Amino acid sequence: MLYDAPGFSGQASWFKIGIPAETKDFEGEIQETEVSQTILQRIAGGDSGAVKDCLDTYGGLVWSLARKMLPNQNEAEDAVQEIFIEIWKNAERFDENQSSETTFVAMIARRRLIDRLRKVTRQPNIDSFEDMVYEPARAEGVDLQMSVEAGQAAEVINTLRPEQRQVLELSIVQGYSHSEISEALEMPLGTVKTHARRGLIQVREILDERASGKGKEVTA
Amino acid sequence: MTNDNARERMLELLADRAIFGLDQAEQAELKRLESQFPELASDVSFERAAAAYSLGSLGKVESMPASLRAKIEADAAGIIAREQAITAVSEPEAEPAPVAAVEFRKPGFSFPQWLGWGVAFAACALLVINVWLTRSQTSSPVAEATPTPEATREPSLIEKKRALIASAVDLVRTNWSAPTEDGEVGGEVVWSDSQQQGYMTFRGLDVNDASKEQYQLWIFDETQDEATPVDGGVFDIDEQGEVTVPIDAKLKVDNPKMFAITVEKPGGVVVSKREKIVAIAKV
Repeated sequence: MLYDAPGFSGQASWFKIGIPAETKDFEGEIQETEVSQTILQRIAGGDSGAVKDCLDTYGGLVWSLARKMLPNQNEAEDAVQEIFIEIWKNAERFDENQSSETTFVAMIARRRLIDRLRKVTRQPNIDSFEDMVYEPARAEGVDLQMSVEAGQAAEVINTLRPEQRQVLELSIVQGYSHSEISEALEMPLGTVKTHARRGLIQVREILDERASGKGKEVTA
Repeated sequence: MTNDNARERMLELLADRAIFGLDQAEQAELKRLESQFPELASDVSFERAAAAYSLGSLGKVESMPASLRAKIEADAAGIIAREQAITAVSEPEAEPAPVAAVEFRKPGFSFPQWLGWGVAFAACALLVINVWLTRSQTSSPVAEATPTPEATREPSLIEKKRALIASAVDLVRTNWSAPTEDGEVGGEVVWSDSQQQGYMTFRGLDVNDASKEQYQLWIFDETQDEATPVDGGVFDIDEQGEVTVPIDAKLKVDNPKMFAITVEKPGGVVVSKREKIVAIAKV
């Protein structure tokens, strides 16, 4: 089954975004303090029911990241199990002032996936590179309350230079190493790294600007 | 390298780590630079940007296979319980888990919820014991305010193993042996069910090349089928002589009957083919 990303439409998403309690009639009486807790905070707090909510909300996301980056289903299944073990172990480290919960989960997932990727070698398929570069990034359907950074990144991606997008798509999204990309694109290794770094720095700067701008609004 | 150049290089490495990962030489270089620029050591802004980028261009999200989800969900309770027990010991000042909210959520009292109550109770008990031990060992307010370097130093694995042996009332202790007569593996394994921790000491296990293969521990206990023992974590032997390794069980272990070490691909496997067993320890 496919569904739009990254709404992650599990019913638990309201735990993160803090919909007022009176709108949640399907849950009946729920205390205010409980409503404000994210899924990871509930896991860290010992709420075993949060595991199901976490899998409902982020299972598809983690699986999709793994399938995009890893070469086969078996690798992806092993990786996803490892990722969720890391999520259970690191739930208490989540700080909603630093990132959205979705981005935190994606960060943990990427660390594990990169560890695995460094042990395998693949041959990039460059046939679709041209289409990929000129196809706008998907911003539609992004639940900005669920992952503000993802929505902002989708906007930023469209502002990157084509060669930066090309390298970042192959590295960050599809998981290819700099040497694999260098070989596939017949581009010097240093150039691959430069495009990747500059592109990521641009994304990072805009996310930081948006975060600090949001902070000012709140202060005012 | 000037200070500015070194800082620039560290930022490059942080970006590379977020995008591609680092090889061992780069990791070592980053570690050196972290001591020079400690304010950047905990910087995750590049990783956050890379994660956001991957989310922003993910497109469709595919559902996880039901069988995989069921396995992860089944394994979760043990892992979370173990993590919370560890947290309760290492952070005695932490607020108790909001167990009242858990009870409020669902009228039926399922096993996972009992588990949550059990963990909370165990955490409280450990907190009381820890506080009592801490208070009884503190000789004066001055000593409490200014801990000595010895008091704040992270115990070595050997010290942790000794502490486990001294404290565990349910300690399991057994010796390693080679599965074949020509093997020469010595040492022991200690494990505590109540503390969900243990340590292995090896003598005679070959140094491995971590880029090609790693050792992996399997724990056969009474909760798991013999075909699917508990993954005890992967580890490396990087020096000759006696080596102590902590056990990193991925699931709750209950009454272990045997420990076994296999050689697997880097990172380990979910299910071992048991093609290369190098040590076993029967309880």
